Amino acid sequence: MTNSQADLMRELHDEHAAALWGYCVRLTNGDRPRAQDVVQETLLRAWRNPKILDQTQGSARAWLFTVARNLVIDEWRTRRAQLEVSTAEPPERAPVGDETDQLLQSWVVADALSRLSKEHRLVLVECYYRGRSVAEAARRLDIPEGTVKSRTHYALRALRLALEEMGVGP
Amino acid sequence: MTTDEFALYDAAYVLGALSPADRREFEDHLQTCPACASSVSELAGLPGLMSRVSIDQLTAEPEPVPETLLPSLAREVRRERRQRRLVVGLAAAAAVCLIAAGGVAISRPDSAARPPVTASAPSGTAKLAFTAVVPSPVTAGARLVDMAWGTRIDLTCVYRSQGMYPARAVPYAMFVIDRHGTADQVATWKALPNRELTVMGASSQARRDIASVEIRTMDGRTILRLST
Repeated sequence: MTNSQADLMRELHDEHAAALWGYCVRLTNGDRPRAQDVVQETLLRAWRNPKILDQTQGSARAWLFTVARNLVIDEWRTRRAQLEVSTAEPPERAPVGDETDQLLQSWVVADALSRLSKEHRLVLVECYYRGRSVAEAARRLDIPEGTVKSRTHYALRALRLALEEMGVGP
Repeated sequence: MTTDEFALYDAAYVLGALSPADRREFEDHLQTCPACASSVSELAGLPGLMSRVSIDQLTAEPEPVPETLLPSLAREVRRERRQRRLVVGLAAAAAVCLIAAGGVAISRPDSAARPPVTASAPSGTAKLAFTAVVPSPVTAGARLVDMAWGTRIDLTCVYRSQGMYPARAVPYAMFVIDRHGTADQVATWKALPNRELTVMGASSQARRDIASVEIRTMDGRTILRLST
């Protein structure tokens, strides 16, 4: 019994910690001890709600990212309230609102991209992120131009599905 | 021709990767092919979302997770399991008064796999049901717990949806209204269809100074109220 609970936690860690870690480091502006606290609390909450894990990986990820973001916002609010009572020091800049929403969305999209196959991801990196034409991408990836077209076709469809799973739609 | 030679052009087109000649041909084709036109419009929103990610984010070597994380998680798991066994033991002995004295903070109403410890909630913090102000798919109950710093509100709410699963979760806010009629927002969350959510609110008001707790939509309409 104890082992299965510990195994569940290990499973959670192995599957999600890396993705959460990158996100939380950004979310806390690089404050790694805080980021670790947030990742830990987020994974503990998932462990207490194992139903989360019955969902697809994408929607579990979206849940975890949202929990992590809310933890950071709550913590900031608490600290602000304490500062307002105890000192006249201006509180640190708010991590709330648009900025964290944008970061959350950016991380969700990056996570969806990271779960595509390598072939699909690479063709999107070339054709979109590096702004290459089909012909240039074909040369760089050493595949025929027709394959670049068909790969981008399937890659965007896979991305769309991955995003829908995470509750993000274009 | 049985297959449309342009059927695979849609993605390269929305990504802006087609050569000018291909693009012109494809745009001509779109005028006469509803299937290609509709697949283009399905994909047209994706570049906007993709633009939120930088190429560095995609190609950078991910930073390794700290090695101390897993051992520390394992420690927490052991500690919580010890606490849980303690609570279960007390409940089995029907030691309700002991729980009332010290067990409030460790009752966890959320997992199916767990024994129903919360059935023996301490008196004075009984779960109260909200009543509907307007018809809505949301039902909720809450427990108001006196704390040294004010009142903790443990809200559980269920959003029942029939038929289509909505594409987006619906956001709600919880407000505490004091005896003078002042409303304070104490939590916001998104209701997920057909799932019981546990949301915690915190108010600096003492339990006796809270006149009601309301659940509102984000545009400020009250849908549920709990009068204390």
